[in-house]
Amino acid sequence: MQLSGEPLAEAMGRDLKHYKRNDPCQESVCPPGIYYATLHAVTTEDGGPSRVVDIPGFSSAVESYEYSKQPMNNVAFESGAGTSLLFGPVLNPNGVRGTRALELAQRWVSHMARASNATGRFVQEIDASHPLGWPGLWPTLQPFAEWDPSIHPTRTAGCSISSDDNPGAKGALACGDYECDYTSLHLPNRDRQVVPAIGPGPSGWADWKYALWTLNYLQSMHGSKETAVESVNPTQLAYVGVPGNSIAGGRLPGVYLGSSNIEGFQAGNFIQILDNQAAQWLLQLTTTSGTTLGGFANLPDALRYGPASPLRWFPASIRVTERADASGFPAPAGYAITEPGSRLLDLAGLLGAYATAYTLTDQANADVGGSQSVRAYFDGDPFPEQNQKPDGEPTLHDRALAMIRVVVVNIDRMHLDPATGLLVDRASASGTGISRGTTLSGEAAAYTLLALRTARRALDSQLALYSNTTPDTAGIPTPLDAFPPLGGMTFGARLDTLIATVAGMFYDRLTTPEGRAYAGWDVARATPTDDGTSLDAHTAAVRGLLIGYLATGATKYRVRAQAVFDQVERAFYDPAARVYRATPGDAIVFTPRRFALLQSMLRDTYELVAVLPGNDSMAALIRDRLGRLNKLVLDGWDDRDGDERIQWPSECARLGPDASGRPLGLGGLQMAERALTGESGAMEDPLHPGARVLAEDRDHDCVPEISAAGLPAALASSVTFTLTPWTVAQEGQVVRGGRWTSP
Amino acid sequence: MDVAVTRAVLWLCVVWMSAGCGKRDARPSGDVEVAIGAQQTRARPSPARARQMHSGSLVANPAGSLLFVAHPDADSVSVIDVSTRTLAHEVLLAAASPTESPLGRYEPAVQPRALAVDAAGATLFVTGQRSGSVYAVDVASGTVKASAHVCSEPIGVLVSRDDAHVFVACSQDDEVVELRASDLSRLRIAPCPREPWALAWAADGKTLLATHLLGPGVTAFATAPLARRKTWPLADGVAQGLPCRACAAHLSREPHGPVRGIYDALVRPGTSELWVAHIMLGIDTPQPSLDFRQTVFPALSILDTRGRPLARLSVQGNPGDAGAFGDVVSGPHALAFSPDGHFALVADASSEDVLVVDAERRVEAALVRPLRGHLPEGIAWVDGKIYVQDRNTETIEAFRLTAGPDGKVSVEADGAPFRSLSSDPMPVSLRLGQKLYFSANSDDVPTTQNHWVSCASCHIEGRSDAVTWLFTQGPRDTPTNAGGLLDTGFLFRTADRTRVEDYFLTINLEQGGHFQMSEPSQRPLLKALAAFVNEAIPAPVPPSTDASHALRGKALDDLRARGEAVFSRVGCATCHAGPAKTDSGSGNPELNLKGPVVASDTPGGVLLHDVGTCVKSGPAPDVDHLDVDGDPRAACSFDTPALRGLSDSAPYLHDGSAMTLADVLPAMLAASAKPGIPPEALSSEERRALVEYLRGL
Repeated sequence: MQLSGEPLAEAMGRDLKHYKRNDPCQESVCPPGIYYATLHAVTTEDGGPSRVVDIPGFSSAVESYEYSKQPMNNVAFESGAGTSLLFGPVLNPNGVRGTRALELAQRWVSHMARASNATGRFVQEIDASHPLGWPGLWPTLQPFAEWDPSIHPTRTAGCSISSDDNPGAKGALACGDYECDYTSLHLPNRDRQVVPAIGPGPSGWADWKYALWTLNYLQSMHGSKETAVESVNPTQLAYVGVPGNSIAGGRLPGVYLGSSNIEGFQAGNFIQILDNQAAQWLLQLTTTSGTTLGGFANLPDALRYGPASPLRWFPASIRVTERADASGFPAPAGYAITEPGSRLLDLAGLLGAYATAYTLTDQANADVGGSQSVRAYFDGDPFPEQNQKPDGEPTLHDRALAMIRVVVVNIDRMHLDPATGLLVDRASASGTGISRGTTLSGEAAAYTLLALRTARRALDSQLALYSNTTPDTAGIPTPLDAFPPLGGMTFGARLDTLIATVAGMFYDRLTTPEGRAYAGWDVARATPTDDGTSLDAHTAAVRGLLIGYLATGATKYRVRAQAVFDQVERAFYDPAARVYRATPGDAIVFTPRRFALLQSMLRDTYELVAVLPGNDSMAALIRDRLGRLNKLVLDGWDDRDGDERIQWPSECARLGPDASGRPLGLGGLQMAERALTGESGAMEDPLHPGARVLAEDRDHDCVPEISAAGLPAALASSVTFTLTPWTVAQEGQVVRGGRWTSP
Repeated sequence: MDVAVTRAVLWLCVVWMSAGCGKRDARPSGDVEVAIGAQQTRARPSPARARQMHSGSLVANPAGSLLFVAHPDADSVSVIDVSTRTLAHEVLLAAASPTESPLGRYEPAVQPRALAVDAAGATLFVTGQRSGSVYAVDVASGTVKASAHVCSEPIGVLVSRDDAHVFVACSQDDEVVELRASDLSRLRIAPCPREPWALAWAADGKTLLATHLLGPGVTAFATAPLARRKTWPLADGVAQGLPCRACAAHLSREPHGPVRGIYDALVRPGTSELWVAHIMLGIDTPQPSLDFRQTVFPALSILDTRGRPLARLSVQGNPGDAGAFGDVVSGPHALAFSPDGHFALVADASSEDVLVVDAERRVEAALVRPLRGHLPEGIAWVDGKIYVQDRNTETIEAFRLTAGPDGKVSVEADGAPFRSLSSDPMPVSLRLGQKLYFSANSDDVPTTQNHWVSCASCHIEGRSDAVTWLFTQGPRDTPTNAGGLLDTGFLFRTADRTRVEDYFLTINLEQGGHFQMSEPSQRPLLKALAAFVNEAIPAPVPPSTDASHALRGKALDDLRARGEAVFSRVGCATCHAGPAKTDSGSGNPELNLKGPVVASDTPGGVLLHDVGTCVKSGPAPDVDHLDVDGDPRAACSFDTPALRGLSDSAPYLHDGSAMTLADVLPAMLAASAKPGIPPEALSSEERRALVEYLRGL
């Protein structure tokens, strides 16, 4: 959740301003990342900075940005794989349908576009072909849990912002990069491609990402020419984003919401989604029976929710019935519970999401909610002012607090086994009481601990965009302490107890002093659920232990994390494939979650252990692992000869034919990319200077562009690598039918 | 994030690159068990009758069978049986256990601070900071067999190799004293720079070393006979930023600044290296840039046999820095080494942890955090175990250190903490306040972030750090808290606050903490903190000798009496009046900040004076500002400071511009002169008498 590649690169000693994400690569042998390494003090003959290949630094600082962001945009704005925001209870409080619903959305989008100065270039005049102004914009309220992401993109979209990164030198090139026209990114056969089910898990984990990126987008305001504006005269803050305002800030008068036109606009939409979702979960999508849906009577009722309240929880899966609507967006016709239980991992997603969202509204948080760039969103326009008290006013501030409250209370009430004091993954309830599962998985425990700590830091007004690397401060009162106690404690104290409980699970039960980690714990039998031979268990354990260290300051967690990290190296790293394997055998399978756990293990270990004085060899090892992992698993580039150059396309691990029948790398977990994903913004035709060529993989990084892939810039559900013996004599060859052959 | 799901599973191909990779059966598969041997560090058995190498509040007898613990807050020392971890004796050094006075003050009469045991392990010598005495305790019987008043605020103590002599660091007299061990009679005196604190033997076993709590460093003494040889200053730390970070923001976070809080020194076994524990203060960063990460830096300085610096280890300011500690610790207070000298152990009183340093590589090897007690002030390695003394909780914690063949170190608790005192006479509320005052343990209380700063980081020993900070209001010398603040009128140099609880603002602004008076759960904590400051930090004991170390006893008293007459005659007492020698709050007993600022005693007014000391230029001049309630305060109008414990609070004036009391006189004599009349000219004898009077307050 905290895919914080930039701080990781900085922890590696990289200076981010020296990276150039659109460095054109027009050679046949392309470096996978260019870094102007002033740190290395190497200069060229003409005295300029040396260009060095820096795979771990570049992939962490630049590419992870896009790996994180583009799947999120695909869910929130592009694919249509979710219920429509047009029918969100805050945006559309009376539940109107048809053109009246569309008008509400149009009003919102137009207003937000003006406030962020995104009109014209991105948000166009509303007409039949642009019902929401932004071409193809399809804002979702609740994402569906599952869908087939295949699309039928075109190469003719006439909207590009790729020149943003290199204006002048290469010129703008109108190409199908889809950054500002989503029309052909929709699921072409939505009804057949989606499973129309929503749940707290898909929503929570998508929301967490929305909230984090909103923090990112709201780090500054911007001027008319999109220059960053850090502050304005406080008396003028209310006018930021007002069309035609003349506030001095940038090169020309006028200051607008968010860090740029597009990011200011998208951030506003993320906030709208988060607010509408919270209202829907709290007031419509809870259950007290497991069979029917309902909600709290009102927001104050949710804020007061406690151990003595009637049990009310979020069911794990809800099927949505939709019907065609004159608005052009499908309208929900009904909701039905299909899985009534409560899942700990789902609650962790919601908790992390709304803890992060609360931070946006918390003016005591000087770096986020207290900053001018964020307060400008919550000064009555576009979002209501908030009194900073948890008193149930209809604002994101109070809805987020209520979500935190309800989730934590239900983790405590439903998922904490009273006999052992330990958490379990699953729980359900009926008239006869709460029925709990008997196991806790390491993965759920890790993410639950992350979410609990995120909530603690948010309520302490300490949460910021990037995860910190120093232990938290204990004992800060929370705004939820004034409500009924939990287990005889204030809310904050109970939160600390839960954090200590989960952290203790990792230390006392899920790992051994030798570094072995178990995939889960059977609470009933007081034994591990497995023999401790899974990669995911170990990476989750490192993640959990290091969160435990940061949450409590207790160094025993960090020491244990080191032991588990060492075990990962010993037991799971395959030096032949130069990658970690989850299981024995030929296949090396990666899912986004496995990749996330592995990468976050490497990142956290680097930032919390390897950077400590005396750990230079560990730092070097992790940098090597990170570079290989990012490029192989995400991009599908196998640098099999180890020369740090892409022999394109033969070193692309998965090859398919392009439109002309030539070999084309088809990516790794990253199925496709748009121009901004990485290294190349535009490509000049080497045969015809001044002309541009459209290519399937302009930057030759083995990830095809959207048009060529017929897939969005999102992650596959899994990627499986198989190993085939290779020698240097087979340089330049590709595998066909299990044999090396010339491409 | 598991939100984008495709039903198509993508089968890819990755190839092997190395020659041996074709052997599939050679590939690691699944889980590979690797036996990790962990061996206990081979601590050499303690040689019988090992010599105590430095003073401390926790020491062991040479056989390693007994631990001795000083209890400054209980006026006693304990003898603990190591094998059973039970109290063998509890030796009360005062006539009775301390109690709160009718006025609510809690001031132990003796305040034992350091211990030294003779080579036979038969006699334990104890310094009493407040009593000024040294006590000889018969270990076997647990009785005091002799005591003698030695000096003002004795702290460090050590016994000579032949057990014939005892050496004592007299912190308020700026002397080291040699006593005859048999009867504690005084043999020799060796003056030295300010505030000698801990004592240690140099590597030669003959040279006595004394740290100076507030700088400049360490003084070496010959011991046969006792004579000062040389003082080795510990130079101010210099920021070691990388060239690409050559900007103030980064450099100010690099460990740097004047050296203070030199609490301990110890020779590393098997070497001639002298390790010195101290802090550095980043006083060059002005507010508002100054934050808790730029204020106080823990450090270990390593010196050679001639006091030349070999290395200085401190916290890592930025990734890649050649620092030694990856973790921030605060308040390094006591040192110990493993017998082979491979590991240095540092008890950090404020961050409440034990830092383990690989002394060979000079990098952090481990950090023991959290401890289970509070305010660790003593540490000892005894027969393969590490013992830590927690002053606040009066407990001892034991640990066992193991180092694996890969060099990785782990430190595990060895059993539960055990009591070092049967009954704590200090009231619970004052213990709470004491913990809060000394704690930078942000895992426990929100007095700071990431274990950086406590109240005691700057108010060292509850007193001053002898530096000037560049605050928003102007340059400010750190005032002492000793003796409490109840009868000193308004607080802050310009009467900006009225009660200790208001210092939650300092905790938040300067320490990075999180306290609010309005928060119901935190009000009791602030109240406890205020109670500790006001009731349980004793005023310093004035020096028992004059500045030239020539006068003592009645001769000194007579000189101070003459100085008092001068003090009254020249008009000092006009403003420096009353028991605390201040007119702050005159006419305004409720200390109402809203009252008008006045220059003469006016009912309801806030009495402030412009005495010509205002700083009007430079990087941090005095400026107009607001008090805690938002009332305006002029840049140059100052609250009259109390004069309690004056000898201990150098430098002087609000900006620390007067290094000595003699330096203060010109400005104050001018301020006390009537308008239009030149200040009275004092003879050198009158000046000397006046200064001595002030030193005696």
